[in-house]
Amino acid sequence: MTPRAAIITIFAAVFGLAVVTDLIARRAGSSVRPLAATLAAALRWRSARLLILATWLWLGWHFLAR
Amino acid sequence: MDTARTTANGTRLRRAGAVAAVLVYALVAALCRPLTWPALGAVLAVGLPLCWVGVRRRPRRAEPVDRRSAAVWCALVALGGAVELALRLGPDDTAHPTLSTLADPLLGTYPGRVLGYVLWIGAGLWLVRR
Repeated sequence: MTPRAAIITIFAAVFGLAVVTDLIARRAGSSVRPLAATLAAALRWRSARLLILATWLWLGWHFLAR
Repeated sequence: MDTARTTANGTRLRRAGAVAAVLVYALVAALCRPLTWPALGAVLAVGLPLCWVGVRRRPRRAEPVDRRSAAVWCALVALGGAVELALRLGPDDTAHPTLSTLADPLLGTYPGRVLGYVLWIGAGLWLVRR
C-alpha cells in the first residue's frame, strides 16, 4: 500500500467512525448523544460559540479561498 | 386557525428564501477560483458577518449533554485534527496529501466549488441558528 493510499484509508476510517458513532447515538437508549445535539449544547456558551464559528470560518478559508 | 396557517406559510417562505439566497451565493462565489483575492473576499464577505451574528445572538435552549458525549465527539475531532496536523508538518508532497490537498481536484471544478460553498454556508447558517 502506498503512503497516499494509507492516508486516504485513515481519513476514510476517521470519517466512517464519526458516521457510525452518530448512527449509534441516534438509537434509543444510547449513552452518547448525536453530533448535532452535542454541538447545539456546546453552542449555549459564548466562548464555545466563538471557537466553533471561528473554526467554521477557518474551514471556509482553508478549503475554498486559501 | 388562519393565523397558524399564515405563520406556517411565512416560515415556509422564509426558508425558501434562505435556500435560494444560499444557492445564489454559492453559484456566484464558486466563480472565484481558489488562491485568489476574490475567493478570499467571497468567504469573508459572508463568513465574518455570520460569525458576528452567531456570537452576539442569544443561543436557543438546548438540552445539555453528558460528559461522555462531549468526550466521544472531542476525541473524534482531535483524532481527525491530529492526522491533518501530522500530515501538514510532514513532507509537503502528493504522496502525503492533507485533506485539503485531497479535496483540491473536486474544488478545482465549478460544480465542486458550488457544492463546497453550499455545504460550508449551510453549516454556518445551522450553527448561527442554534
